[in-house]
Amino acid sequence: MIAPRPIMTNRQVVSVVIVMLCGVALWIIPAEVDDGQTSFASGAALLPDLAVSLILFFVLLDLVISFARRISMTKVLEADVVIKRAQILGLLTVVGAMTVYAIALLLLGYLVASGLLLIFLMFCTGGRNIALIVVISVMAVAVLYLGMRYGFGIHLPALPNFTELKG
Amino acid sequence: MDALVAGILSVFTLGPLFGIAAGVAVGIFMGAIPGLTAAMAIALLSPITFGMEPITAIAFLVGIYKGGTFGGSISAILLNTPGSPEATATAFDGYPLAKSGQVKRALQMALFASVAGALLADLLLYAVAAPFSKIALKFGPTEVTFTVLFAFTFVAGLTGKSMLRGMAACAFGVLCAMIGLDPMSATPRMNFGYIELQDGLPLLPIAIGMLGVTEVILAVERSIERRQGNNANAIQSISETSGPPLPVAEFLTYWKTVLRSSLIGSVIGALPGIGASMAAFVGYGTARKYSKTPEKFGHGMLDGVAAPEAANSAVVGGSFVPLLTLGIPGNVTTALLIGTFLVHGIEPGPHVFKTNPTLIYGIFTILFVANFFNLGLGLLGSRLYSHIVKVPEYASYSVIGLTCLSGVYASSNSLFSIYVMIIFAVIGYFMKKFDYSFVAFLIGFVLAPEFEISFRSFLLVAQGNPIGLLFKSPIALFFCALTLLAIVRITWTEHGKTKKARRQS
Repeated sequence: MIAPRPIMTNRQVVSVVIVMLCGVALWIIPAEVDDGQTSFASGAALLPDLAVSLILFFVLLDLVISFARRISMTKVLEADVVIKRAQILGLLTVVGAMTVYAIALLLLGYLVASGLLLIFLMFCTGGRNIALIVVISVMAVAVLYLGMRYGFGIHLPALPNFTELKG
Repeated sequence: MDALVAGILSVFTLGPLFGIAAGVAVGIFMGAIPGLTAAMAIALLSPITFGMEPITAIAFLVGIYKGGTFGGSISAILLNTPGSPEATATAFDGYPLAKSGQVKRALQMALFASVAGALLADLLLYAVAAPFSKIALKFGPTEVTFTVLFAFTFVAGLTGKSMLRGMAACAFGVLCAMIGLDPMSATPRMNFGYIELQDGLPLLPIAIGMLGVTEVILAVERSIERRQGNNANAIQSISETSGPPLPVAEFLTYWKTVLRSSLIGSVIGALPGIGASMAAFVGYGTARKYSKTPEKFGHGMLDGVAAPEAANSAVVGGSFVPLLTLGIPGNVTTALLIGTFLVHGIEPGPHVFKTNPTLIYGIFTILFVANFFNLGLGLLGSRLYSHIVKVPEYASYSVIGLTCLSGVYASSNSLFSIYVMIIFAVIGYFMKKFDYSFVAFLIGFVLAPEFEISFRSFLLVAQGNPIGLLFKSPIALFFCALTLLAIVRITWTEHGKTKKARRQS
């Protein structure tokens, strides 16, 4: 049994989202840009407005062409993009881990936060040998920290900031 | 003639030669680490040159500049994370080559092309420094507007699967670059109340997020698919082997690409404000245009590594033309160099050729000699770097993730940069999935500030008659015609591809 064709492909859904975001941007820009009284439309809002309008135009044109191809069965359809559980989980895992790392960096210090992040990322990317994961994490963090500290003179916050932890 | 000989001899002493060697080594190392650039190394290490002889100090800093330009390609090829923005185009074909087990060939092609491109550019610098400065002086707002417009169209049309999506990505890059201060009235623009956005969005977190972190997300995605039983993504390292080296004879067969890109890089380098990133993209786009197999670009073509590397390395020599003849720095690195020159009592400008010709020829010689140090140190290093590929995927991508975070944090000492990187990693991930060229985005972002000032000045100067002003400038008219030609040509090529696919289906 052939699965019914969805109303819109993922590509078309993304195009519609971009069109909607362009609408929001065109609404926000006047409030965020002091256009002043510049001659010949060459004010501060010129390029932001032009850029959003061009995005809107190109994406709408792309959307129209893809709908036309879908309607006309003689034309070749572009392969759709797969967005399933693995894609969403992969994205959320890395983004979540890096956001937590950014928050933890000042609280736990570079050495602890980086070590924990590396262990987590290695586990998520398929590493299962715990001993090896720990060794790589410790070595990589040490090399990066010492390289930054003594090679380039960049002082990363190495240890937990107990003042921050106390609140 | 006496000045030329004296200039050359002044370099062949222990101090300057050691300065070049140390500078190149530091430059390669700094360039290879994502987030740390040659410009940053020069900024960090300039103070230690203040006690040196002027020629030794210049040798050290020029060495960093040269080494950093090549160093960026190492992480671009091995990790798909350009160490410096100008190495972005190198990753397009360098990384697929590394993944297919041709690490040494890709690294050595980058090195040979980089050295050859730089050598040609430095020879050109000797020959055309003075005459070319006269052409560069003619670039006003009208000319810059249409040159950048051509670059936008050319890159957006050639780097993605669809010109429309490429153009949209480029416009998005321009939009992101508008955040910060309006360059003409200095009023805040689109910073949404964040003080950190007053200076605009930083380039490095964006580039690293879109390229490096996106790869980490894809690695986690592959791991999840493996656990779900999809064996198509079996566990792997970047490549099982570093592969065979690149024979010099084979490299010489790419002479056309290297020569073409070197010329492109030299010309772009001599034009202030455009820089190595654009040279690399234009070099890449041109190599693809003239290739007999353009469809293979992006899948591991040696041409695709040679072209951007020769072009971005040639920019170094080219960028010294406006620096030494006009005193105008063409990019961040030369701007930092000018600062050091001034500390040593050297004031670059047209008069320096008369007042201190020995030093000028000494600088030309340093640029030339640094290429050989780059070659030697690069060859030694390529054996070392190629071992990275034997590391399992889970270890390499996790370390890439941490390196990206550390580099971005270290470059600004601010958590805000990390958040910017994460946001653009998400945007980059979707752009990659849905074929919105992030190259077009980056070129839009990098060139937008220059474009905005030129475009708005052009409109003001035109006094309501932009077409009339355009027709008064042959250079602008030439680039305008090239832009239209590029649009027609790329649209026609895309139409041809669609027709071919329809016939095959």
